Amino acid sequence: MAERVVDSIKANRSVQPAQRPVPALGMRGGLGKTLLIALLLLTILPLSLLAFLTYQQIQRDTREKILASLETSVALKEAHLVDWAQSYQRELSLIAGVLGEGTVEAARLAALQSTDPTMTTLILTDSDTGRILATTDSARIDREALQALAAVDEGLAIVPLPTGNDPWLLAVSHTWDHRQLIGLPSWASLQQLITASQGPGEGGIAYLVTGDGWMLSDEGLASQSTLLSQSSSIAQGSSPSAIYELLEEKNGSGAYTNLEGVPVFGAYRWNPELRVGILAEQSQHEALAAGNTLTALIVGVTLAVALVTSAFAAIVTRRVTRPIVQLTESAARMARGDLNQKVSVERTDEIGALARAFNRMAADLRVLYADLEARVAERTKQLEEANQQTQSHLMQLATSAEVARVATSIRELDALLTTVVRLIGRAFELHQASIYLVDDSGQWVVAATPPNQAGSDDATTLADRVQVSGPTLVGRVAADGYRRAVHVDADKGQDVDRDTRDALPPPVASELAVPLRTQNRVLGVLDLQSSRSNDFGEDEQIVYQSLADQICIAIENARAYAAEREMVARLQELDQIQARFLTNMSHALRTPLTSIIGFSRVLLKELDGPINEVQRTDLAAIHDSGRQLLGLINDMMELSHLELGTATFSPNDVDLVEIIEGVIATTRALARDRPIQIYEEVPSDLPILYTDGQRVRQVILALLSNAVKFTHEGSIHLRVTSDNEYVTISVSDSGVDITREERERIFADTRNGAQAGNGEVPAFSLAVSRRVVEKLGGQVWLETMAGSGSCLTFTLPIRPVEVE
Amino acid sequence: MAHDIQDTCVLIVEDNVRNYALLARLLSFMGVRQTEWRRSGWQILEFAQDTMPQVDLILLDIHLPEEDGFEVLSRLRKDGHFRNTRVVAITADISRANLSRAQAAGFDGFLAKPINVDLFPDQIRRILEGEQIWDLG
Repeated sequence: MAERVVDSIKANRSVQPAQRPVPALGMRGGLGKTLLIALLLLTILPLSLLAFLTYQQIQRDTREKILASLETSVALKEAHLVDWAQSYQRELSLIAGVLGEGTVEAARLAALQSTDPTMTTLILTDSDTGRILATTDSARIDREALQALAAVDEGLAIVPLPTGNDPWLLAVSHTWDHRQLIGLPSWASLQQLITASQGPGEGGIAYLVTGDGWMLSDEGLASQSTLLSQSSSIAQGSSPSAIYELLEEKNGSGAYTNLEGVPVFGAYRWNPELRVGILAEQSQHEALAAGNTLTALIVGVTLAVALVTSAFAAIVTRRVTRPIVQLTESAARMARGDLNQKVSVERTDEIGALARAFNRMAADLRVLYADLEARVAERTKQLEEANQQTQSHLMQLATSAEVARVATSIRELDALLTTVVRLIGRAFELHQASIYLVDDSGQWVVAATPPNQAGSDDATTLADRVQVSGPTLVGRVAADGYRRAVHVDADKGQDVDRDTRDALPPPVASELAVPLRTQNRVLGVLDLQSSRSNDFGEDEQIVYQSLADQICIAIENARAYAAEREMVARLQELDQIQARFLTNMSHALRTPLTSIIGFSRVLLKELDGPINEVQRTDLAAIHDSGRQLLGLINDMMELSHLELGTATFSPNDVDLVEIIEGVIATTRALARDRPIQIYEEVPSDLPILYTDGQRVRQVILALLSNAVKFTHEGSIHLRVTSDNEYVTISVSDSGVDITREERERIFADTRNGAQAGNGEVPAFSLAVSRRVVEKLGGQVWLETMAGSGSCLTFTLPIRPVEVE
Repeated sequence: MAHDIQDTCVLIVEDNVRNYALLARLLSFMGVRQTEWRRSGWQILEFAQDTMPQVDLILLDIHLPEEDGFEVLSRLRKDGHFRNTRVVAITADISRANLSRAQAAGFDGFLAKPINVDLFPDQIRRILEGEQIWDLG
């Protein structure tokens, strides 16, 4: 365990602080983006605005132009139409003039008609009645048409014709003199008129619109009624189609969606006399096409300008941000630790100034950093030294503690010393650590520890034993008890203590010998060898001295322990010898007694023949003496056993009453020759005792026998009482007037061996009784009553904690 | 022992002649006509088959020198010759430990020295009848 503590301390020394991670370098220019965006916005926005406004203006202009042209076109067409109608009317009036008064034949009409190919039919009617007077094409005209035609007085009319190819009739009529001449020009001429493009600014489609919703265009005559009804719903929300306006007999122009859903520009005029409208439309798409092209051009130019601007902006931005990026990167590199930064910027503007300031700052930092580094290194060195000191102090403390622990836990001297030097050697990284102990002669110190494994090849440096006061470091230290140190001085070579002639063999560079001493004598020497020459300075010596003191204590403890064990062993041996002796003695003494007691008894029983009174008396003396001797031997044995602790006690549940009965009986037998009264006071509710019954019986018998002995006449009382814990038995006698001193003497010594006789257990002497009671856990005492008698009392625990 | 006391044979193993004399006297007074004496237990075992009659009772001093009475007992028990023989320990070592040891070893009785002359005849009679007597004296 000690090694682990040492190793952990050493391991902690070499832990380095963890490296701090370096922040990553990364910078994408937000500045560049900002500049770029700003420039772009500055150029593109106005340009876009400009383009947009231009587009709008173009649109408006185009629109106006077209509308104007359409209006002109419509006006022109209307004029033409009017002209056309009027020319027809003139023609008709001419014809009418030619026709004059009178009837007109169809042939004549036909002949007139052929002068104008555009006139398909001529009809002469009576304006009053409506009767056809003459016609060039009778098939075409039926009554209903005629009626409709008749309604037209002068001018152009477009008349519905329910049957026939054309649903409408184009008619021009001239009324004179109760006659109406109706001419039906072909649609084609009208159509041509309408659709002929004229003048500049064309590009649209013209229509002629009748009041009923018929439209004449270059495609012909078509009814727009369905479309009209349909598109009325479509046209909600947008400008109303021109048709509606026309049908409401209005003039105008504008942009709207026509009946087919196409956005158009359109102009329209209504001629109230002819009851027709002219409509000219041009699709907006077509019209604006040119304008759109222009717009596209402008947009393209704008984009090009934007691109150029971007490029320009990028360049400018880069010029500004590059040095800034450089500065930033340099700063970041400096932050990482590379202080040798210099930004090369030759500009003279603000950025140049910034760069120059940066370079100055970098230079200053380098200087400062170098200075700091130096100071930190110095401080670190100081701290390391302090740390080392602390570590070594810690080591010393730990080792001291371990040595102390080892000293208290290991009892065998050799193991103790070996462990301790190993601990010390490891903890302090010594080349060699060993302990020498002074031997019994006091002349030699003997190595008590084996060489360390590290120094096994340098066995020659460790002498097995060194002479006290001899010319060696260890010897001198052993002699006078002062510690000494020797070290190799690098400059002066070997520094040899004047008193010793020991040279330090390499790799040993220093040696310290510390005395192991108690107050008044030197027990030995702790010898330490190190491969470092500066290991045993004054501070270290003090530490080693304290370790040496601890070792001293440990050695003394170990020796004391060994001595103690030896003592114990010897005492035990003595006890055994004593016990054996007793047994042998007992046996040897009993053997002749067997003969004495036995044969005398045989004679007394007259087994060998009758005996006379004199013989009886003599034999009785022999027998009684023999018995007495036996009693003495028994008591002696018992007492010895009790002293040695080898007496056996076998406790079990004991009925005191029964024992007392027996003993009383015996006592009465004993006392039968004398005038002694024996009284007993034994309560019937005595508890059962847990004790050695035979011993108790012996004790009580001893007390009673003793009482009988010392009472020639009188009374003996036996009283027994009990409480929760103890039973108290007392034997009192009226006794001979024996003084207290005599009593006590009797009590104390072992003279009495009262014989109960007749095969009873021999009684003990009072001294033995006392021992027995004490061993049983009770107490005995003697009281002498004034005047006469004494009382012996003893107690017995009912349930002892420990019965020996 | 169902038969007559006069026909019993008692062997006394005892190294002290006077002790033997006492025992022999007491036995003869009881009516035992045949008593044998050996000084050591080994002697019994060695000369058992040849010279030994059928023995009913052995009074064995277990404290003989150079001999362990308990070991003698165990040898005796193994010997078929003494299968029906009662073996009683007679000893001056009257400790309770010794008594327990004798009980455990398989003795049929234990009598203490010095012998109680008054009790002895009755004790022997009872032992011969198969009783075990343990007397610490």
